[in-house]
Amino acid sequence: MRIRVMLAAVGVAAMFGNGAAQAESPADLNDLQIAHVAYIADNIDIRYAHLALAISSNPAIHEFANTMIRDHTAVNEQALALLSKLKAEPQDNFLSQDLLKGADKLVDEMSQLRGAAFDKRYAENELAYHKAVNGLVANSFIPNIENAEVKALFKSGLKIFQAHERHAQMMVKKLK
Amino acid sequence: MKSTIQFPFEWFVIAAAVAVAISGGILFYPTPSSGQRQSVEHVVGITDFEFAPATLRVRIGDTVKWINRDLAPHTATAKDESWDTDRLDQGEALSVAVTRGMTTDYYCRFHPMMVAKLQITTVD
Repeated sequence: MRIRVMLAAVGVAAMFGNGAAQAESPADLNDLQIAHVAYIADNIDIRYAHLALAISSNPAIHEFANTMIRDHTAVNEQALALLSKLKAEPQDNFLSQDLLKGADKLVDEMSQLRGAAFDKRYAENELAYHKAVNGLVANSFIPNIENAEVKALFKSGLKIFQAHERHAQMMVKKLK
Repeated sequence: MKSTIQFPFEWFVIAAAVAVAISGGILFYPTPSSGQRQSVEHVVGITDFEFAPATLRVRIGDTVKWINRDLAPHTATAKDESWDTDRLDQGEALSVAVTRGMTTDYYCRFHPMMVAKLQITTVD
């Protein structure tokens, strides 16, 4: 299990071009830190989606981006409701910061693209992003979450993100 | 001398069967004279990004109720968009009447890989 956790962390770190996994391991995060990472990861994908709606004129891209906004917003609302019920605050951590830094860089890069080049980059990133985050959630977060309600929410969230991964796969194929 | 009429035993069996059939009809069919079947409300659950059942046998006049049990919003939308439940959030449900000639293949507008179908039948 530990090897898989490290592989997932390395995958995410490599994707965002930093050495986060060497500093700390996602497997060491507590429930509130994990919740923070998930909230940030959701918001990053919403941010990519808004960028896609602003730049792309492809209806399939718009449809996908709207779905990302709708679904990730639903997950975040549930997560916030649960944290409020548990009277807990999500805790910022190294992985959330790494994700944000990576996202800033990627938004800058994608903002320079137009037309088919943007659509291709957005679709490919959505596939890679969901693959990486799903690996992290499945192999690192879910096995380590202690609170049963938080774990259940992550399991539901994972089903959604796996569906997004399949949807992104379809979109990438369509754009080829 | 008292005379009695003897009926063959088979007559009793037939009479009993007819009585059961008639009483069953009266008891269990609301309008036997109309010959019409009561409409049925079917339920399709949406769970883990799947419609269940993926193929549902229905008859004209029935209704189909879609219930979203997922965290993510979904729709049940005809392939040609001729009917649509519109957005169903978690726990929400909406029914659609089964009509003659309706489009039976449907999908989720938000997640197009989610597909299912109604199968309209005239046989119970």
